[in-house]
Amino acid sequence: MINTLSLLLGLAGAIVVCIRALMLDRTLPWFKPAPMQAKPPAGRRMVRR
Amino acid sequence: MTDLALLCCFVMFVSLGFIAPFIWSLGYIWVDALLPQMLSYGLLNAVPMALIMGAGSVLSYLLLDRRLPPKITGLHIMVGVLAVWITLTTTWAVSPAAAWLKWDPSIKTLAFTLFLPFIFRSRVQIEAFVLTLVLASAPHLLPWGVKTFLTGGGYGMSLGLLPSMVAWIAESSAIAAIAVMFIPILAWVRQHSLLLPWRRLRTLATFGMSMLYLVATIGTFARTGLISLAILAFGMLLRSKRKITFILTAIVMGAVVFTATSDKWTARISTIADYQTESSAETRILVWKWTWDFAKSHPFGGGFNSFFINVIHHTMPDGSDRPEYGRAFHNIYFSSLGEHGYPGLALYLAILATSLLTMQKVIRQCRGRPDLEWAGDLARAGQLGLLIMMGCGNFIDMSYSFVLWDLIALSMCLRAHVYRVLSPAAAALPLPTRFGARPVAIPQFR
Repeated sequence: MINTLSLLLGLAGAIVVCIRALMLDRTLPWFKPAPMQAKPPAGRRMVRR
Repeated sequence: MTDLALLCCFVMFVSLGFIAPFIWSLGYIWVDALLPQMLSYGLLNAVPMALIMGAGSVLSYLLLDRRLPPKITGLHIMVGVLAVWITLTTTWAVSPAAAWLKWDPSIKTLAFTLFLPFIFRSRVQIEAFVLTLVLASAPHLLPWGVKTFLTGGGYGMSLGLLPSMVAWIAESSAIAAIAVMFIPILAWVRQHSLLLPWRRLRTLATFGMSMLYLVATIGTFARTGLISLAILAFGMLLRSKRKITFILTAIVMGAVVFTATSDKWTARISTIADYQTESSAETRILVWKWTWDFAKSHPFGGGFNSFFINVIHHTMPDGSDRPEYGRAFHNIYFSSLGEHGYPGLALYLAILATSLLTMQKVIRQCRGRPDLEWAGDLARAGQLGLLIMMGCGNFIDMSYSFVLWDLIALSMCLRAHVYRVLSPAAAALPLPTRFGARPVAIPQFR
């Protein structure tokens, strides 16, 4: 039970990582960065993680 | 059920590999770390998964994605020379059949170490590489943590996915080393991950995994675990901004561990000081003495698994002699010396030292660059991880283990990425083909 759950967790994590990497990797030919905003929306502070 | 889940994941890697070439390499790392062919009950046993992933990686790179290859550094050359040298030493091996058996996975590990910097070039790709390594190793490590909570663990027990005799990663000393090695990397994931965007869940998961890995290390009852924890604590202390608080917390945690663990654990760990009377430690020292003498007569090494020919003489309490045959090196440095001689050991040490220095250089270059903060912190985590593996390597033979060489590959990837971002030519490239990092300018990356 513990082994199976750990394995499924690892597998699910690997799938998420691959899909997210495909979504976010800018080096892929189809990636189109969203147009940059000239200035941040009023009332919202730009916070970078 | 297990087979079906493994098959789904394998199919996902293969199918997504046709969309983006670097997914093949992620698949190779996944197979290397998880060993799905050993976990399967039949469906995937006969499938040469590593071969498929490896061939897919190389072919897709050559045919589809050869943009911006990394600058060839001294580290690349040394790894290449080591690959040639270990092949040469295998030709004059003292145990040829056993030597070629170990040469096969070792040469693949070195070849892939050289290849990975060509594949993982962007921030997202490097993070995917790190996360795949973490997540593919997790199923071997997490059960140790959970079961130690439930049963208390024990020396020689097999609490992971695979029995310790089947795979190197299932052995208790290896678990103690790898689990602790991942802790600084998990801290980096918590702080910098782009691929796991849910901050609270990410914090919970990485913190939980780190705690379970600590428990797993204690649960193995391996003395290697104490070494790995000591290196981790020392490394974290050096980098901590609140050193007094860190020392006090470490003392409290140490006291909790000593009171919470059983007498058996304390008794087992305290044998680390009784190396002259403790059988396992005494055997290791005798093997190292044998290797030192063997290197004098075989300065160019005896090939892989040269320990097969050793005879270790124990002196019993009554004065009689008890011989033991073919005892393993249990040390990456003596293993390199016995298997590949003085040149092999020199190359091996040079590669490890250069990899550490490469990460130090990355840390230095990333200082004062908010867009490269992630790379500097990853280099710090990788450097500490490599130091833990090098320290634990004094007690386990993992000279050509995937974890150690993946950390070396990581240093190459980071060095190449930072070089690309900082080079003036890279700044002139248009965004879609640029491998730089400008997270501030791109909303999706925040």
